[in-house]
Amino acid sequence: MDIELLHLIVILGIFLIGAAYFKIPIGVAMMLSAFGGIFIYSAISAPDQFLQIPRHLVDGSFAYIEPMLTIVAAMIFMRFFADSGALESFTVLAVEKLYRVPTVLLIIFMIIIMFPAMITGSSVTSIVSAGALVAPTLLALGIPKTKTAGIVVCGSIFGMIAPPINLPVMIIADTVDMPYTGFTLPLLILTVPLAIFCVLFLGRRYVGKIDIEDVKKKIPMAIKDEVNTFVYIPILVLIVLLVIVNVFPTWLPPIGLPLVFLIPALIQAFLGRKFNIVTSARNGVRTALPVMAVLVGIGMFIQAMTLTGVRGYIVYNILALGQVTWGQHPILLYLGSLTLIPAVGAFSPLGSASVFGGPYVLVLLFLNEIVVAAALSMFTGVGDFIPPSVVALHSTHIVELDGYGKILKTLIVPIAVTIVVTLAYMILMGMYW
Amino acid sequence: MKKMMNGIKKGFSKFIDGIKTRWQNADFSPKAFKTSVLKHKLSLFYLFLSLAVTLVTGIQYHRFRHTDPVFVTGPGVVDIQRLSDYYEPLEGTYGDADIYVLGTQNPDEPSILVLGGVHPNEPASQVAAVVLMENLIVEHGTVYIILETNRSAFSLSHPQEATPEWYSIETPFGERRFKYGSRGTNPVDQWPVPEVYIHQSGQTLSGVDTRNLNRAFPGTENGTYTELVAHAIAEFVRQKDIIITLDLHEASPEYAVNNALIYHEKVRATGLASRTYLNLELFWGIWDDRFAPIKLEISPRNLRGLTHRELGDYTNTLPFLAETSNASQGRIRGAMSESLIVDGYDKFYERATALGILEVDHSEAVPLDERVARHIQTFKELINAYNSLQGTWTGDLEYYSRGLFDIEYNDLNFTTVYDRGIGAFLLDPEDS
Ligand SMILES: [Zn+2]
Repeated sequence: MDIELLHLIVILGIFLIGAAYFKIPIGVAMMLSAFGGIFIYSAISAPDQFLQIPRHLVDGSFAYIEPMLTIVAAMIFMRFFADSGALESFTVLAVEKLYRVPTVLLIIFMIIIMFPAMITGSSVTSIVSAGALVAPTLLALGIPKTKTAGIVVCGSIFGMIAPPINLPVMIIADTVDMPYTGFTLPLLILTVPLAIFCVLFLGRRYVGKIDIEDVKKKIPMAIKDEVNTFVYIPILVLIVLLVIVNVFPTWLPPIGLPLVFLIPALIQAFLGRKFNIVTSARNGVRTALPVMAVLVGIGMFIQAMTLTGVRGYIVYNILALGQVTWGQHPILLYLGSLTLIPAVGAFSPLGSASVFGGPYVLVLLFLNEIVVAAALSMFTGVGDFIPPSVVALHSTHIVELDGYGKILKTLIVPIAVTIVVTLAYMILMGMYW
Repeated sequence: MKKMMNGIKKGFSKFIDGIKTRWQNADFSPKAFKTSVLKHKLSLFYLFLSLAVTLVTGIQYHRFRHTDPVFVTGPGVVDIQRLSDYYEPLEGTYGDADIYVLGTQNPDEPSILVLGGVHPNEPASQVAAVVLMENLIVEHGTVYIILETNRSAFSLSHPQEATPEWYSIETPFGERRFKYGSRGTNPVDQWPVPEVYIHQSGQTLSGVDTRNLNRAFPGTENGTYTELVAHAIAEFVRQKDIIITLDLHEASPEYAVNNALIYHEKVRATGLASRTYLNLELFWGIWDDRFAPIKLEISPRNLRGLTHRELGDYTNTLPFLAETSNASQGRIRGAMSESLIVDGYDKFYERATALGILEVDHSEAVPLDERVARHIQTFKELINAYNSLQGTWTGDLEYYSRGLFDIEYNDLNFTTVYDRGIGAFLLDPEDS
């Protein structure tokens, strides 16, 4: 037996016991497991590493300093966007203009739910902001609670995987020295059809004919008197800035993504409904904290795995399993991507991406690596459908249901379709993209 | 606009008022302090813990950045210049690296530039350059050696690679310590990175690659810090009219271009590369069976920003890049340790070799001694190739009129370095 297996058990064990049994936050559980892993490693085989423990922990988490700053800034923008009434008024506007074409209306709602997760890379942002705001409207349209929650969960997860910011892909790309460029189109091809399918599958049959007068009584029509069209300026500024920094980076000095979000946030502070900027920003930071903690935790977690040789152990074994092929296809790895990756993803999609992403890309080199990384990020995201993921658990609050079981039942078809489509996408798109 | 300014003013004064009221209503009695501490004891604990970690690691990072390894100036060194001598804006910045000058400095004689430490996570690159600097005596021609080409990247360790900050090489007089740095420029010297890095050629790369010196060539005067360093090197090559540039690297064992010599497609460079390849493959490959087969590769035209592409395109030099196989840099490697860097044995790479998924042989250790020995022999064969081919370049007066290199190697070659170890060729800092 390899000593690395012992270290793997120690690291994963501390994490699982902490997260599943003691219910400590995922990020903190990861930090503890990293600390414990390096401590045991030092004790067994490298006493010179004891004094290096603080450096290793900081070194590991430092890889994500920029995504962390971006997430805070994006969350603050999202909070301002919601608190200024912009999000609400857009929802109302959509219902008013599009109630005659419910299919389009549902798709628009899906995009609204996805949007916060798209720009922050975190499914949690969507479920707490856009998801929470759109859900009452979906209920008002006559969609049952379980299906509404299902739509919000799907939107949050597909939003996390959709471009421009996909944190699992960033982590995978980072572990194999692959640039995070050229992902926009492949990720859109993967997420948009699935998102449209899911929202229509879950909601379409309840909105056959919308009684607009009845719906108007249930949604906050008053917002129309409070805000005017200017309230949408910041979101346009944001989109323009995102396009510039990603497509025409030479037009601006490198201002960094955090500023790209803070500039529209600052403009939003003066447009639309009056709100307390300090409170609102603080709420934004509060939503960001758990995600930031997870990133810090994963950073340390990866450092611990690299130091102790667990990374090599996993990479080597995945490479070895990858030698079991049918034609050129490593079937065991495909099987793992359907099971193991989502299972670990239920605790943390980013954690799953960091452990499995790199080696998978290395084995599946005969497929297009961008497509493979995109597909893998979706498999890690599938984990978010399953408790104890924050998205799954929070969805019950949004529609005021007691348990997640019923929601999960309505999600069985979307999950199955997502997995099958993603696998097909990885193999077929990967071969011909 | 005026409304907006008033809004800002009002909001600000409200904010200040809030702080004032809180301050006035605050209870500063010891009892209130005690209750408040008890109420927040967990938060306070975390606050102190993170402050402690920040302090401890902050001191460690600061010390690492400001401690330099000892490089002993070799007997052949006639001058030490700096990159800022060739591009002034670098003066006083951290990345202003030393250029060791060995030889006559006569512009009418041939010259070679050796770049060590373009990637500070590739130890054989720097150590080979150090061994050359501490041993060579150059009688005709000039050898320029930079040991810390991306000096800024030597001031931190790469996140999530868990490398030690220092590694030691045994010598007869004790240990010599070297830094294991990061692949990219320190964010302290260059921040933030853009989302997308558009190289001046139009090539699009991930934003992180703005910190990679070997994607920044030929550099620009108004670019990122890394591009300034690249520009300084290109400027040096132009001003000194360097004939040959040899950029030393290492690659992870699973990387396809490994144990390789990469050359620019210029006719003279192609000739030198072929001759060097033949000498290494046919002579050393047979003479010493520990000399693993070498790959000869032409610099891809569409891969921009690398020394062997841009220095070739933008200066008159004939550029080459040499790679050796470094297990400590790879992703399949097991636990990280100084031994992995220096002794070069890794069990997962041994198994990966058996599995047939590597193009290089890691069934046994590939020690730093071997990798440095390869780089040194590559340098020697490049010089030999120049000396033997230059005589046929009678039509090319710019080369022909400069005559041949005359270099005293102090017994350095692949076999001696491998057998006696690098330590036998490193100088004792006490003696100098
Ligand atoms: Zn390199």
